Amino acid sequence: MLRHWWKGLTALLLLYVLVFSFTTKLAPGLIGVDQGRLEPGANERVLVGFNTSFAAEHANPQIFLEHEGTYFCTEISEVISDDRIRFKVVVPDTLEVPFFNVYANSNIDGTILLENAFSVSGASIGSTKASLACQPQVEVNEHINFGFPFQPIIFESIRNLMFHVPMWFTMFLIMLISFISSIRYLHKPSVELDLRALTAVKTGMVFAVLGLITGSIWARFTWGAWWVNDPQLNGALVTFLIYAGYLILRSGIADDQKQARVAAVFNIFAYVILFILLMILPRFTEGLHPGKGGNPGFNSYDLDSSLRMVFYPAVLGWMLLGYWIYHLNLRMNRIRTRLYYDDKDLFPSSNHDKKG
Amino acid sequence: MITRIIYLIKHEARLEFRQKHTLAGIALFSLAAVYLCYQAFQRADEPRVWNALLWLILLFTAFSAIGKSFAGQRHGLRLYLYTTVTPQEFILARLIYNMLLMWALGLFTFLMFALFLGSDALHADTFWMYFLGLTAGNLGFATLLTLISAIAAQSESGIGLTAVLGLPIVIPLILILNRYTSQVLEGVPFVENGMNLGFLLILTFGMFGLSYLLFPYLWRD
Repeated sequence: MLRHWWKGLTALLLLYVLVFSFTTKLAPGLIGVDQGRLEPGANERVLVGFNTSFAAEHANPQIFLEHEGTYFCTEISEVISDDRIRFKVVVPDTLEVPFFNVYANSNIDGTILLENAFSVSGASIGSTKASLACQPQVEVNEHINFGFPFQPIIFESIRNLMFHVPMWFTMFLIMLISFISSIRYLHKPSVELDLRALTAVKTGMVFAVLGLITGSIWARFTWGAWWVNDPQLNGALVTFLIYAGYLILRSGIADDQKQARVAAVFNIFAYVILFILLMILPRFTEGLHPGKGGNPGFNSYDLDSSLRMVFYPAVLGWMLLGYWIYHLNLRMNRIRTRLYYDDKDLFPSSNHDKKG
Repeated sequence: MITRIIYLIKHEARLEFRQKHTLAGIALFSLAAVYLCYQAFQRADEPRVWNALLWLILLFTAFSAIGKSFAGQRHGLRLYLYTTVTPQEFILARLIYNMLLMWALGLFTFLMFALFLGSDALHADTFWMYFLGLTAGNLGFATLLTLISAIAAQSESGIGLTAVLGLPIVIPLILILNRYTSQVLEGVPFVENGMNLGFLLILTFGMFGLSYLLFPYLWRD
């Protein structure tokens, strides 16, 4: 029973991931304003938040406009609801840049920012008149609530991070198993090693498909299309095609030993090229995925501590699950092969590939 | 070893020129493809389109030229070679020969392409950069497809499999080539663009080395 501890660990990890990735609240953020254009003089606008609690008892919300380090205080005229607030602001007629960021501060949500919320029309460009500016009279508190970070376009779909990204890691791990088995096969042929390579490719393809599906849904939500031109997506599709080619190649060769040998050669060749395509090339290409422009890794995912606490277990959990599925498949295929050779009255370990 | 490789290359070339129809067939194929593009596009004024079309035609030329390089081999000849040369010598000779062949075919296709679809996209002072990309690309195609066609030749499904296995694998190469050459056409200086060419060369040499290492396993049967 102790041999199977890692299966228990897998189940626990995935349970943890499922519970926390769906129940953790998103941190408060700002979505937009009712009208994004300001004119010099007094303006009244409504600010729309997300998961905010403007109307809570001790929230005491305050709103500031800011550009180039200069703050403008506003007057709250009405707190409409938890996520809507009406405020008044006086805009001077000379501005350095005709854009404003909006900060909202409350005792519950902390300080949250909406970049380039307003553009100003009709103001002349010059140094901003300092007479209307003010100093914010609040503590700048960054995060009070625990939650997944609020990202403008991504919103709630950030939870997909725990499913989409680990699929690719898992696929790579399983294809690595296949790659190593193929190298070992060429070094010292055996039925077992060939079975491992084949089973790993089949299992890895399942994860490739899952990665494509979760990615496609995410792309539809954030980038607006089911499929976009992006180096990672190209890589994903090419991976799928190459391994489909691997299976077609195998089915085209009748002789078992020859099939195993040729497939191993193709597998090694394909994996090296895939490694170049998926791991190295995207670093030097413009793309939509985060972490581009010579910025490897995914620090730029803005992985903050709350995401990390779920993301790392998710990666480990999915990888273990992938290995588990691979292991089950392998055992099944072993039995199948044994039965096949028994039928033919051959015993695999003694007869297979000795001639080669 | 080197004398035997040179002999093998000469032998390949002699075989190819003796049966003129194969070489002529490939040249005709690329000419027809160029003419088809000419009919479909008349003039490709946009440099990006011009460039992409050229690479597509070169890609299919490569497939028809290199893809059959192991299929036409007679059984008796294979047996004879098996007893006289090592697989390493054989694959080196084959790789070098395919590179030379693809380079020449690539130049021919490029000239025909420039003749029909115009060469307005090219500039005299950056042509050497484009030419380097063209050379590296053709050598890359030849290297990659040599091993793939050797693999496909092992299967009973024959030449059709070269396309199935080769097309997905050639995509990384095409992506880098397209980026490098279209940046040349846009006038990006070599200092910034040279990295792509370096990548191309690394990829080509990597595939060359892999072919050298892996081919012996395909050879014995």
